[in-house]
Amino acid sequence: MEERGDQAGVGVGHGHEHLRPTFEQALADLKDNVLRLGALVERAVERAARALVERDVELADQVRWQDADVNELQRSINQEITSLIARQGPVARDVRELLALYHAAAELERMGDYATSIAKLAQQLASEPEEPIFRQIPEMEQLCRSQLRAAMRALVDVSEAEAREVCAGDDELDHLYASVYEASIALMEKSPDRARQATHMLFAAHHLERLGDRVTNIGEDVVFLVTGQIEDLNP
Amino acid sequence: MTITQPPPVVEVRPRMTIETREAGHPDLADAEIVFDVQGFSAYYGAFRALKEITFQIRAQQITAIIGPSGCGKSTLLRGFNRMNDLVQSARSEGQVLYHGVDLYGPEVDPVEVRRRIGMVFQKPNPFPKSIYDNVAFGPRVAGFKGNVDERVEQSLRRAALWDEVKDKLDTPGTALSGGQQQRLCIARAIAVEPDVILMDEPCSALDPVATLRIEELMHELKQNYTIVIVTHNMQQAARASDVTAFLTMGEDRAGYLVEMDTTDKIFTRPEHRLTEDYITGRFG
Amino acid sequence: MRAATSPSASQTVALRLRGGGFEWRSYLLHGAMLLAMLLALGILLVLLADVAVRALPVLTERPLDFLTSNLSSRPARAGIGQGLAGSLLLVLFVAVLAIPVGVGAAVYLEEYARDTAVTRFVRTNIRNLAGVPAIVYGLLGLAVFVTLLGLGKILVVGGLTLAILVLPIVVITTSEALRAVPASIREAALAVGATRWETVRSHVLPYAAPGILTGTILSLARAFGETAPLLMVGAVAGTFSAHEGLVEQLTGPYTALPTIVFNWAGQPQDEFRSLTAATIVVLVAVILLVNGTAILLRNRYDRRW
Repeated sequence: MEERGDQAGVGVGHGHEHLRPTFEQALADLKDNVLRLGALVERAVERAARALVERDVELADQVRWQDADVNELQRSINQEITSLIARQGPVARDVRELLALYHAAAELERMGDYATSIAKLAQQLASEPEEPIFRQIPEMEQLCRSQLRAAMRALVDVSEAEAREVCAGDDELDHLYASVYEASIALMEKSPDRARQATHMLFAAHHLERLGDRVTNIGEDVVFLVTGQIEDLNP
Repeated sequence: MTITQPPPVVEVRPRMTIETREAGHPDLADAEIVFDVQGFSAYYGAFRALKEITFQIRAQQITAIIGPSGCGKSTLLRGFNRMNDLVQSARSEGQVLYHGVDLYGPEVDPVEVRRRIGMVFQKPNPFPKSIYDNVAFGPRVAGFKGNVDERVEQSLRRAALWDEVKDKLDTPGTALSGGQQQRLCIARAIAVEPDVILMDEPCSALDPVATLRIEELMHELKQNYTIVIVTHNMQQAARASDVTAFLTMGEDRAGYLVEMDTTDKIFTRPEHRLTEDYITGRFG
Repeated sequence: MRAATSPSASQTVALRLRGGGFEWRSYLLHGAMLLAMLLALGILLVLLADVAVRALPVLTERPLDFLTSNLSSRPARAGIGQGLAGSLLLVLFVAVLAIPVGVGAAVYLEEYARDTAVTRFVRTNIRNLAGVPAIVYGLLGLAVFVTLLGLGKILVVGGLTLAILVLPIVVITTSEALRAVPASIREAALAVGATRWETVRSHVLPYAAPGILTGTILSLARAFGETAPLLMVGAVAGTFSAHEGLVEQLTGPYTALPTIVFNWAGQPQDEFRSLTAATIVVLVAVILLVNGTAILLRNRYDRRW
């Protein structure tokens, strides 16, 4: 996950004087923080999935504890955005950017909550007799993470095209979830004593699918930033 | 299936700007007190213009004083450098302690006060002399024995004007544009190396670009000086200042302090309804 | 609501813009004012022409001799040399005395004095003094300098009297010039830590200098042309022998151009008509020159700022 403090998206052309360097710096710092938030969430998802697969209860604990960091960072981002809107009187692109970042941070926080839920499921699964994890779940997790990275890149580049690509990529996640659903039902019919494990895995996959939806919301935020229009890119 | 990608290395602690700290803003509240105003009232003859103002101004911050027209903001500002003395009917009560010394004490010389507490006025007022002489005047009357050329250059650099005028220091200061004139006035004020710079609506006669440049300049200046600015442009106070004091006029037409806090607090969640009404434009 | 105007509406507007017709009233007024100006100018020109014509004989026959000769009861040899010298010295005296005192007083009143009943009283009085007839100053000079102080009828006394006469004018014109200095300049200087005197010396006085200069020159021109006070304090109306040195000039009998005019105008001989006229021409010429210089200087300084 890259962290860039560049001015991408802040459209001061060549030869123009930077009249509000303080404000521009504040926007750049804010974007940095949102990227950091994304990095935190990505790590949480990766660890939660690993805890699930490796039945690592301690790792799951860490994920749950570190959700507090995610919440704290999102709160401070909110406060900063409120302050910038109140004090700097942003208009046009600036205000859209602040709103997009505000919404994206909120989505990331929810994604952090999903990761925490997956960690809880990992702990529950670890207390049950071992059952191999459906192969689709790690696939979903990897896809989620690459989607998240792509969404963050779209945010940094302020690229409508990249954002739309991310939204299109959600379909595969939905297919994988459908596939987990079938596998889960099959497991419950075949071995009713494994119903709990099947259910836990289904829930985990569900969280990952919802996580993916949230990533497309971030894509929609980027499109809004660029065009000023709110589109539904994940019908 | 194992996870092949290593977890990304991230810095967990977020970078927070001063504005994102919680209410209480420890840095701003910790700075040294420059002005300690205690029950300061100002009169013009029998008319009371300011009623028992009490607050503190701290070092190396930009403090903005906002409020509706006629509420005494300028009178308060001029109370800090004894410029009110120029009005014959002006008198005051209460104390204005500058680094612990009462500015209105009997042994205090107003001329010395003004050397340490400089002022920039609403309408740029450069002397009808050369740019060099404008900036050199202050140090000369202060008895500066060092290199005047250096002092002039340093002041013009700090006022972000040097590059534009370095080749024409002999030309009249009045021939510059409005924004440049105001920066010249800032250079002139800085030239005596004051502790504090008072600004009385410094941008109200300037166009938006010149205004923004001066706001950025203030941001640089506050590293070396304490700045107090009176403005009735609320957006400017919101953008540029660290601390904001809101004054308004009572029914007796005397100005009083309603609220004073970090600018962030004042403009996001002020305590007093009156403050909120003013900054949201419900009254002016 | 439609924005287009109907034809008749635009016609009305066009009519109103063109005006209601021939404004004969304003032309009449215009003509009357022009007439008044021409009348005033005409009277002045007629007077000057009359004098010039009368002066012609002397000025064409022996101009240099006229300017340098001493007073004499014989018109063919009379000249205004002593008068020129006297007038010059008197003006010098006035400059040296009245200007510093007058400017200083004005600076005090405008820059330092608080606005109290006393200062208001002083200001009013100075204005009144400027309007007091010149002969009263002559009486003052006679009573105080000639008699009380026993200085006698010398040039110094004449200089002192004229200095006191123009003093109120210098104070008033300097005050006006100082008041014209914008308050913002003073504020700017004081705010940077200058004392009152530093402000006045470095900013107020230089800014007001053109105005002060103009006022000063005009008051000197006034002093140059005063007659009555000089007569009262004993400028010689007749003749006296030429002086040798400066001290004698200052402490001996003296005369000035206006008093020469007074004297010769009263002489019975016809030749003195011409001499009188010639002196008047010199007098007027000098005054015009001085006033012209004042205007030139003022214009030159005005353009600088």
